[in-house]
Amino acid sequence: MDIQLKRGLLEICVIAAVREEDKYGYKLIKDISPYIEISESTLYPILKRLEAAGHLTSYTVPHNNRLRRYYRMTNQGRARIEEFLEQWEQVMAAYQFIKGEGLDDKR
Amino acid sequence: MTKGEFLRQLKKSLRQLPKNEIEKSLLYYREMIEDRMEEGLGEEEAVAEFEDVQIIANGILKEFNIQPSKLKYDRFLLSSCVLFPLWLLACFIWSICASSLIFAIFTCLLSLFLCGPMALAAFFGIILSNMHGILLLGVGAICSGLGLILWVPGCKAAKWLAHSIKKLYGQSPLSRQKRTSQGEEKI
Repeated sequence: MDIQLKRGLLEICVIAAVREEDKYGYKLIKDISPYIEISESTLYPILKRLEAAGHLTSYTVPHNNRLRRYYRMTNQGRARIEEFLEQWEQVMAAYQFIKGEGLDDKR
Repeated sequence: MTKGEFLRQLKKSLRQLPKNEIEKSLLYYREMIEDRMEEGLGEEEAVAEFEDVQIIANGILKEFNIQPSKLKYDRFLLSSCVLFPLWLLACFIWSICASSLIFAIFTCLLSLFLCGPMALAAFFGIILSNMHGILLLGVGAICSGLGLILWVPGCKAAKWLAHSIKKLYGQSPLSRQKRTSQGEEKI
């Protein structure tokens, strides 16, 4: 997969993963990796970018005598997902055109 | 590699960053290792699942616009000007030393083996009825026995020495640098 495309998709996946509940880093990897390849070293810069852009916020919680950092989606993050889904419909239309599907219907 | 070793290496590789950013990265990776260990992995297993420390560090440095090309160039300069000649010298010296040791081991073993037949010949040929002849025969038998006992460990030592030469030749600083650079091409 194209690196830029994958990077964009991963960012959306990370925001989407915390849509229902706040999650910590390792949980994010476990939840996302069945759908798209992601590692700790890939996730870290993504989390930094998303926090810097205001799409996520983070806080720490004590856990087994140590601190665990949890990530939460912001309203900006929610808007980013909605924007992505709208754009994706256009991408899917282009995909069908490239694949040659649906051309007969339009004629 | 243990958690402490991994975090120390990462800290060292990120030394160009502000202290608070280094601390954040270390906390992130510490948490990841500890979460994996909580799931039942051993400390070294948890660390082994990560990529090379240098690749991880380069990924973080890139986010701060620290030019990987400069890093690559610095590493290349270090590898080609300092480490490579040192490695060549080490290969040369160790090849001579290890080959000499292998030769010495087999010469000693051969000498010990030959002591037996030589002593037997001396016993029969020179002083058949003399006490010195019996002593000579005894010493010869002991030496041959020692030769037999030491044959297996001697061969193992020679094999280890030969393997160490081969291993040293496979650890060129330039090839190691190439492997790290290849890893940087990932996201």
